[in-house]
Amino acid sequence: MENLEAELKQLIINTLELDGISPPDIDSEAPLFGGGLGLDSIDALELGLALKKKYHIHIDTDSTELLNYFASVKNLADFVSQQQKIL
Amino acid sequence: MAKVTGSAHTDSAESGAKESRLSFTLQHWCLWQSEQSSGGTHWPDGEVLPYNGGYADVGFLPMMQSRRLSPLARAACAVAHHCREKSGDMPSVFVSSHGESHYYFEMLQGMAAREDVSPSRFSLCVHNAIAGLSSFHSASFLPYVALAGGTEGMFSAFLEAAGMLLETPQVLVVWYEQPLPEAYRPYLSASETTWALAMVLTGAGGSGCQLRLTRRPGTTPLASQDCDNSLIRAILTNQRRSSCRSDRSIWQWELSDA
Repeated sequence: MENLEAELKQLIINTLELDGISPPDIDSEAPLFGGGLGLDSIDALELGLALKKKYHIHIDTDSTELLNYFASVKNLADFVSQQQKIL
Repeated sequence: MAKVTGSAHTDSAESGAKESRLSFTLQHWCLWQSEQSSGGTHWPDGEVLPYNGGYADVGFLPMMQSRRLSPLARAACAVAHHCREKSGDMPSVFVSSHGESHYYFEMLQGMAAREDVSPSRFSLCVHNAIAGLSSFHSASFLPYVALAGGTEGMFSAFLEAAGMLLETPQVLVVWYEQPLPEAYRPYLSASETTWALAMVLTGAGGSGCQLRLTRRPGTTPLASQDCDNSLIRAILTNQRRSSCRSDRSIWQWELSDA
């Protein structure tokens, strides 16, 4: 799981063009949106697209759990590994 | 010749048929382009921003705001920022014939290959995206318009600015262009460099250089000239008067000291 978290941090940095930020700068448990990194709604869409592309996972945009999945790197890693098991 | 404002005179009854004149006070200007400038004397009351390795410096923005700016958006936002810093906030006119052509061409290629569209690229390639970003960067709540080319080329911005000056004391005009993606080049003429130019304009007769423009309609279809390039050259070499043909008209302009 730690590997996946590190991988996701790099994906976030590359996809969202976070110049000058490196994976250790991102706290796995800190909020990705709103506070923390301060990402916005377009970042959320962009990240969703990148996850679909890289992990071939399905993201149900109607799911009430979606906000929770995207809350932190840790939650995102849980979500991706769950989805990969389904596949 | 009906007098419309202190800054703009047009023959409104027969617009397009006779000559129209526009006059402004040029308060300040700012230029950036993706090639090293040779120095020398340029127009007064303005500045050429450093080449900075081919990317206009946007160090005035936090990383979270600058990260998504294309080279074109960096240039436009930088010149707009420097003018706003000098003259304060004001309504603005952003003008570009082709805007973020590389972003939308990439997006179209992606769609043709049945790939998903990047939401951030999509949001940044709409024509008013750069105007919106600049407004956001300067926390401006004042109106802006985003114009595309039209038949008057870059001069359409002066018409828009004269109109806006009916309601507001000063207007920021920002022009920006970049080379087109290769696929479009056989069909359209476009800039060979990435550049952005901003001017702060107020009504005629203020303190500062006076910029006077005259539009004469063309009687026969005209081969349009590269007016953007010739105006930039004029600014950089302190040339004070010239004329340029757009699709349907000839624009003459003159800059004189107050």
